Amino acid sequence: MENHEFIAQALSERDYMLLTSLVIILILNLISVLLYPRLTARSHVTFASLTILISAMACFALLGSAFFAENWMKTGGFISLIILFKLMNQFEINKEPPPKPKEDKK
Amino acid sequence: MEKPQTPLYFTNFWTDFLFMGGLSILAFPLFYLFKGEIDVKTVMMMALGFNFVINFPHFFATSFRLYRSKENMRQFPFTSTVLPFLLLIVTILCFVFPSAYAPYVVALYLIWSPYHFSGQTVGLTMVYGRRSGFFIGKWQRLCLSSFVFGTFLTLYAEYGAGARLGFDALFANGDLGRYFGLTFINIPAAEIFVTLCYAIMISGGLGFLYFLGEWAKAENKSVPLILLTPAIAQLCWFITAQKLGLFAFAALVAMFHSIQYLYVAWAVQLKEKYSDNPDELTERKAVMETGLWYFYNILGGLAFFVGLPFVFHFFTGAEPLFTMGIIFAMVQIHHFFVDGVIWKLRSPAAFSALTVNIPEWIGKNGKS
Repeated sequence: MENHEFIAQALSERDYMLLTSLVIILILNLISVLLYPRLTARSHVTFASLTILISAMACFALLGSAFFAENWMKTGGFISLIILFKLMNQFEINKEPPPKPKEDKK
Repeated sequence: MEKPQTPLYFTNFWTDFLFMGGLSILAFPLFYLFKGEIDVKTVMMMALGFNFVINFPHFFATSFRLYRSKENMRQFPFTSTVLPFLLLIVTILCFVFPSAYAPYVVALYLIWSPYHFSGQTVGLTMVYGRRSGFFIGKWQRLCLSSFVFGTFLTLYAEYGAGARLGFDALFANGDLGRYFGLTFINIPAAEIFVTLCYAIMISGGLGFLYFLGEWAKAENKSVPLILLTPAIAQLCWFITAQKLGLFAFAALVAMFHSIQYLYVAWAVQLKEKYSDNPDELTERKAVMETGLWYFYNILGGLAFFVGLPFVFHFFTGAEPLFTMGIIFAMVQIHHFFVDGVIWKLRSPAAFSALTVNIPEWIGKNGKS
């Protein structure tokens, strides 16, 4: 068996889901790092928001069935989703840092 | 100099009341009275019919506002360009790996949807608060949000993602729900959390009523019913109807939400369209513009909810029901993002639309 065939067979659908999530997160962060001086603070926050969304979804999918194992996990999962929605409600909304106070020129 | 009084209604009491939730408040006792005689499946079919003229157009109306001008898109470049691309990737992944992605995307959508409804209820109450002169500060907003989001949290914490679907079979199944033939993960929370949500909802509601009472006393006037209408409708949607087992009523909640949305979006459309020449709006032009805008929204809605599923079904060969389920969920998730930014567009016309009274505006032009 060729090595790449072995890898393909070893990966389940769930693994592919995690892999694609990681790749998207990687790309988003790379863009954020490489374009650091060109992008505004708001754009960096937006990239961070997207990575939060994708990571949260990956965790959600990974832990899916475990949500029913324990009561605290069910509640934790539910509360986490609500926090996620609240965060996504702020997606790309102007969050520029407040202007720095001008220094007195003497 | 005294500040000019902001009109309380977009048009008049009855129209505002019915569109802002009054229709659902009035429908609620009817559903209760005829509970045993109303067939859930018939109402579901009715809801499906209303989708084409109310629910689908409301999704398109949001996208239409963002994408119709380059200036709007430039203000939110990620939401208008990067996000649809990312959502397209997720959609494709749902088709390629149906069991790994689809159940979670659908669960996400089903819980996000009522959260979004609740956000709109808070927003509309704030609009009418501004119009009636009731100041909604930090504490008033906290109480209002606790009540409104409390209604949704209580229901969803108890029943999980499938609460709005309202099928007995879903609840009997517990952990897994069915949506368009898709199995999704249902996430009911622990009982203690449900009790906590009730406490948050009730205390928030009482707190908001206290602030309203204090304001009414200080101003020596009564609280306008329209100020409470969206919140009362929300209570009917999420708590009262569900507790009374009115699942048929619950099937129409998305429609009631869309009616609210379209009404405000209509006022914004007129204001934006005539922002440069406000004196030119006449009754005839308003009717023409409304008809055209609504027609475009119906067509756009069909493109989103009939065209897109057809295209994906054609290219992937996936089951039509599965395709519809995924596309419906993804279009709506996109809508939740777009709706988050659309009201923050730097557009004075859109802002002033929230304080305008359309008949008064047209009337003034008629006199001039």
